[in-house]
Amino acid sequence: MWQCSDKVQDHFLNPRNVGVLEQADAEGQAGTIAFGDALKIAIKVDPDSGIITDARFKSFGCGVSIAAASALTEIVIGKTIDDASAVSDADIVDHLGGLPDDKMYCAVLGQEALQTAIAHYRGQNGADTSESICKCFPARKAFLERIIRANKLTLPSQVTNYTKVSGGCQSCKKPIEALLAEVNATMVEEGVLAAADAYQAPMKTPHFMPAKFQMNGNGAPAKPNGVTEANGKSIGPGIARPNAAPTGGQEAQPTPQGMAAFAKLNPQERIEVVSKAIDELRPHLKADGGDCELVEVKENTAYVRLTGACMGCQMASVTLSGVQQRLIEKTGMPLRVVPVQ
Amino acid sequence: MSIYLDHNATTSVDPDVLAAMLPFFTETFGNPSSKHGPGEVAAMAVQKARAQVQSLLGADYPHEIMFNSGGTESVNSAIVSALESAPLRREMIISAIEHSAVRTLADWLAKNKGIRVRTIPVDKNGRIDVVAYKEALSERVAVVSMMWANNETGTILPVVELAEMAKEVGAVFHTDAVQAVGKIPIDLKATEIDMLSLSGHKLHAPKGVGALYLRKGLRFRPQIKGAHQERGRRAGTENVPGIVGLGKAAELAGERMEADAEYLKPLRAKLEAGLREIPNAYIVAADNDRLPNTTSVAFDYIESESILLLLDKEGIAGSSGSACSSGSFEPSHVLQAMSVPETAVRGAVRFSLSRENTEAEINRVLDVLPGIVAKLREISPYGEAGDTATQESAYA
Repeated sequence: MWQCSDKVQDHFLNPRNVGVLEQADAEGQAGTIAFGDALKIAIKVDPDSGIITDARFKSFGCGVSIAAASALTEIVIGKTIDDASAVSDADIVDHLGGLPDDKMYCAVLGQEALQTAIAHYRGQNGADTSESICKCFPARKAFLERIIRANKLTLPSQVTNYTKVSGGCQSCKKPIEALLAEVNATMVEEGVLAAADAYQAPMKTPHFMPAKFQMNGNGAPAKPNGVTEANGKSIGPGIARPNAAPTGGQEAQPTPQGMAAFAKLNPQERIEVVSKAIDELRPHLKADGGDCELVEVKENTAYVRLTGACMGCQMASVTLSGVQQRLIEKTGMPLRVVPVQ
Repeated sequence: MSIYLDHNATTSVDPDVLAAMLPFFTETFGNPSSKHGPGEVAAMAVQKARAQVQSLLGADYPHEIMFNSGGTESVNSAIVSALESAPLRREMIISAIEHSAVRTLADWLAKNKGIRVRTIPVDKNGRIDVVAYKEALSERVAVVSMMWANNETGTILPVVELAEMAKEVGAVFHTDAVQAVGKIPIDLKATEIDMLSLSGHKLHAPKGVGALYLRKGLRFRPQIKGAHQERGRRAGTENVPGIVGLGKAAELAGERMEADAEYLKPLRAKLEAGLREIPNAYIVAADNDRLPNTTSVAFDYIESESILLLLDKEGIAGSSGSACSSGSFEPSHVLQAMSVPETAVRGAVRFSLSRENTEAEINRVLDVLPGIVAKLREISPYGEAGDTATQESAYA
């Protein structure tokens, strides 16, 4: 905060226009206690000229949040309703002489509250009913799109800084990345964003995808020999579920070195080697909603329990033979994988 | 005048600690692994520090102390080692109020290693749910990690008893004692605790040095591989000045702990009595066993960062929850776990004292804080008469 501009500090330490407005013509609110910042703004409008003659605010939030609210009232007083409706979060940032990257949401909150107040004045219902993407912080798709476009955001961290979205449990990280990539792509098409600046969602590239499952030239996943799930759903890209009857590629064979090494291991060490190899496979099983638990290793047999989506899946035996292949490939050891219930 | 009330975040290096360290930067700079004179001097200094830490922890043997870079490294190597040592056990248990060092690691292990993580809740006084803990314990559990004392609220967990229960199912018990070491007595030889993490800079040693206690006979998988330092358990040339500093700080903490606690008790009582005078302010977990130096106070209807900024303007350094969790927009997971109501969960301030604080400083805090709270409540849209959403605070 103390690295912020003098203006931000001044608006925080001596906020202007705090309070409630008796006989306000319109009120707007954005944010909640749960969101971590909340702002209420009330305006008085001269009915003849449409000019905002007074504005008051109440704010719950960090120092910058209070400063942004204070600045907002300064900006709108004296403006017509039409001019005020064009005030953007960037105008609030400019008025304050800049804001730290991770405080941009404070200005966005100010603009949101102002917009609801103006909608209220005009008798409109500004409620945004589009789908919320983030579990921790309310974030409507249309709102996010607008913020991304208005501020030309090209990084997921910027989206978080402007809206807090994905700043909590992060479970919405992927949908946010996808949305950002989508909006950026449209902006490139419209010529408002350089293609080089546009955000591209990271592609999932498992490191042991068999050649026949790899992406083809245009980036689309090659379909694995028409294999489909029991429900007829096609297997998604990047899921290396080996085909029951491999048509191409060499089956992994135990190597002499691996066999010699394996013979020297004590039971505890064998468990560790197998467990480590399964750990490396796990992210790919998890991608399918499944998992594999090592129960026991006896001689050269690993007893495993398939869990999650793998359990009862008609492809389970295929998955198992895949696991066995991978273990042999990883360790070079003559392992057999046997399921237990 | 600057008043520092954030000793759970970090502490100043004690002048005696600094004095003990200084020669090891310049005059006696040897590498403890070297077989010549200067090397031997350094090795002996490390040995002495090990004994000093051993004594503070009440460990049976000096070699049970392994030096490293601090709390987070300790926690990571302890938990990962425990899981690697028992590959057939695929579960771990933690409390709901662990530090990010443990929480983030647990999330990572769940996601990438398929470890099932069981999180044991606490009640609003920070007391762990022992019934849930007992239910979660089984022979599938490789490691239990429970903090000895919580960084945000100072609440103390009954780790000695929890460790005994873990022993019954053969699970390794690790405790993050970063906040407890040096503040409350610890006697590891009388417990079933297998691993304990501590950090130097929380007890007036410098940053960048810490230690992990490993009970003799415990299987340990080194996480940093290389040469044979620390009995092959943690490779890399020893941070000799840091280790010497940690040793000296441990010695001083052992000597001063009782007197410090006696000194801090009335000081904190005064602070809390003053805080209770402020309307809609709640001392978190006031009825639980707590570290003698920590107070967490939650204010209805206002946000902690703005409180801290206005305090800072008055030269008073406090903290909101944990300094480590800044950067997230989520409210403190600790206060949420302790059911602090929504109206106050974002308005919590932590004051953590040390022997360096005085009564005059506490008086100064109590002089300015009520005004700051009142000013921010004036600005806040919540808590007004007629504001039905926040009429009743659930906290009582």
